[in-house]
Amino acid sequence: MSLIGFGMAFHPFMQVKEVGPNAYMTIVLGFLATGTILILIQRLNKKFPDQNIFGWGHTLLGPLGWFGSLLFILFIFLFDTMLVKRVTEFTSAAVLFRTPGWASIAAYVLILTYISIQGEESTGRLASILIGLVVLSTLILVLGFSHFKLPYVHPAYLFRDLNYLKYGWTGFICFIPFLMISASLHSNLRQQNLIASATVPCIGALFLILATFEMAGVFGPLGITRYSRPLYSLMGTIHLYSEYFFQNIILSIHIFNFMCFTMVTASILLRIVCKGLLELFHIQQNKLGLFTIFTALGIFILATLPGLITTLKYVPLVLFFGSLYTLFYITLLWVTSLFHRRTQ
Amino acid sequence: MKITRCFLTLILLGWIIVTLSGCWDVSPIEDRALNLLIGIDRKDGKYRFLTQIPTLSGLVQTQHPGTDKNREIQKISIAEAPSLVETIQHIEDENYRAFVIGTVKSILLSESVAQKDSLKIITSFIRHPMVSSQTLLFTTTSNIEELIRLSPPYSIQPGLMLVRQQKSALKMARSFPVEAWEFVSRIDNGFPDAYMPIISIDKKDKNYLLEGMKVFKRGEMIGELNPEETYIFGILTGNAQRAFKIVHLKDQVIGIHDVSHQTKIKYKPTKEGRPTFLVTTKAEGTLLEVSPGLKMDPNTLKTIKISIENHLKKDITKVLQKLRRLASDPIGFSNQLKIAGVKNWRQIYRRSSFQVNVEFIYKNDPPAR
Repeated sequence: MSLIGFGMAFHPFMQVKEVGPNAYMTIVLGFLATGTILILIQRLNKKFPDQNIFGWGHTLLGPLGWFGSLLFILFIFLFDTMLVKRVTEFTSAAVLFRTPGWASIAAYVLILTYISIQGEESTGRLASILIGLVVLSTLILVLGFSHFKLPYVHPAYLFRDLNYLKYGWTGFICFIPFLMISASLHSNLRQQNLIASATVPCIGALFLILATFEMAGVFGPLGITRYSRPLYSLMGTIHLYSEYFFQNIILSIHIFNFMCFTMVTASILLRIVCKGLLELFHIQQNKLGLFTIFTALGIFILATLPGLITTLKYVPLVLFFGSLYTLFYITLLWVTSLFHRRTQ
Repeated sequence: MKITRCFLTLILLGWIIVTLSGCWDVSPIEDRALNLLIGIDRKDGKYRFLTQIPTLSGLVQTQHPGTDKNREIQKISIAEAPSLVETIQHIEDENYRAFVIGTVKSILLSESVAQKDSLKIITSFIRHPMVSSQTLLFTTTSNIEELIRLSPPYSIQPGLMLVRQQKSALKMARSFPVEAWEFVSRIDNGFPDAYMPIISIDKKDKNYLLEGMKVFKRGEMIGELNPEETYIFGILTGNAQRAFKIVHLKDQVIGIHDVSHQTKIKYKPTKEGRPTFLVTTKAEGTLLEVSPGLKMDPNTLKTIKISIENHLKKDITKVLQKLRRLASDPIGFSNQLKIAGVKNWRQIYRRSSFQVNVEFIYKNDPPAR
């Protein structure tokens, strides 16, 4: 769900005209990179059971690991803020266009805070209830294929136009929150069942590949760059009760699904930031609620203050460096672990 | 601890309720100027923005005998300004209501606007988050004000009726709808070229007349297809699904009903390297209108079949040559050239020749002879 929520929000945002007709292939490349990093996380988990990325940093890199973890938390915080900003912008533009931006952000952040304070179990239950929406979203995507034009994404371009290899990192961005969540868990489940945990990114990646493939097939390789929210625009092209006086029904369902996906992702990221900070600064767990409120306040301020120019200027940079750092930090931890003895 | 947690939760829930955004967006329907049909013209460097705004009673007008049919069901607003946004402001000033642009169902562009400004205008609408991507586009050579002021004798709003009329299967033989997103997508990608259906006034029936289309080249309007040629466009794109075909045989009129078409286009350069397209069309239809004197034996049926095939072949070739002359490709030959790896497809397209093959199949044996 985090994959779909974040991927739907940010992958098209990073698309540039130069990617060409095979933009959907960037998700495939991102998926392959994620699979590799997931194996590294599993190896680290096996070597240092009952620890997460913050613990690994401390064990393997000492004081340097502390700063590494802090930077990792900072990126999670920034990713969460960007997600909040992106979702509330979307609702302000499409649904509640007279509501001031700060009010939408405040309402959204408060809901996230509430979910986050309820804990992992409640968030997990919420996610399992909402997982049906993935099926619904997939069905809607299938409906959208009625306008699909194969000449826009013909397989012949795969060998002729190789620009997607150069921009492969844009696909990797979708998977970053998933990797952030995976690396921050204490769970030992992955070491017993890697295949089961790998199913999650597989389903998410399949959905994103299907969505990006369809977007390019409907709007064309150059048409896709016109829309900052191509999936939203794609939903607007589907003919099902489209004679409805205001928005069509498919678009309304899509907005609801998107809100749900991102809500779960953003609340989990918020929880990880707070727990990570507690772990780094050795603060008691009973302060988690207070920390969550303060972090949420930070997200609210950071999401409210910047204008469109600042957002457009810095969001791609944060996404790029955040993804690069996640990749680098986990790889560094794994390489260091090769020279370290296994803990009992 | 439990009390603190409950207190904290209550405060959070309280804040959520207080900040819930719905309150800002409350706007009663009588304070909104909903619109269904927009017309845009350009005169003396200024945009002329015309819109049909349904009256509240007109919006819910029904077939009920109690409904006053003579009551005005819509109000026409016209504004002129150098920019589109300014015209919308003028419309609001005139109506004392918030103009809801998002409810528009069709946009009519005058010929002068469609000629040069179509992309700018349509993308301005697409940029609005509430405007549907499925908004239909039309262009016209008639007086756009007359078109907007036209009130055909329907039981529902003309703006809504126009959409139904354009999308009806039978109508789609001489006119084909184009939605805002598709028009923009064709221009963005540069292949195939864009097109726009023509709307005019049927003065006799006081109705909209949807026939023919304008064709574009790199976003600029460069030519027109008449209703017959538009039908051929429908055949070649597979859009004409329930058309009719009339053929003349020995001074007798033969009418084929429910004609559907399937066309395959293949790029096949000759050995000498001359670009050639193989166009294979399969048409299916039911023989309906036959003159009494005509004997319905296999030979006659074969003669009718050959006549239809020859007619279609001749018409298709004529339209293809016309489009090639205009260097416009709304049909999709460019798709084949792009797949084949041709970089400057338009140049090759202008030099191409067409091999047209048509096959007509009788759909079924009519119950009466």
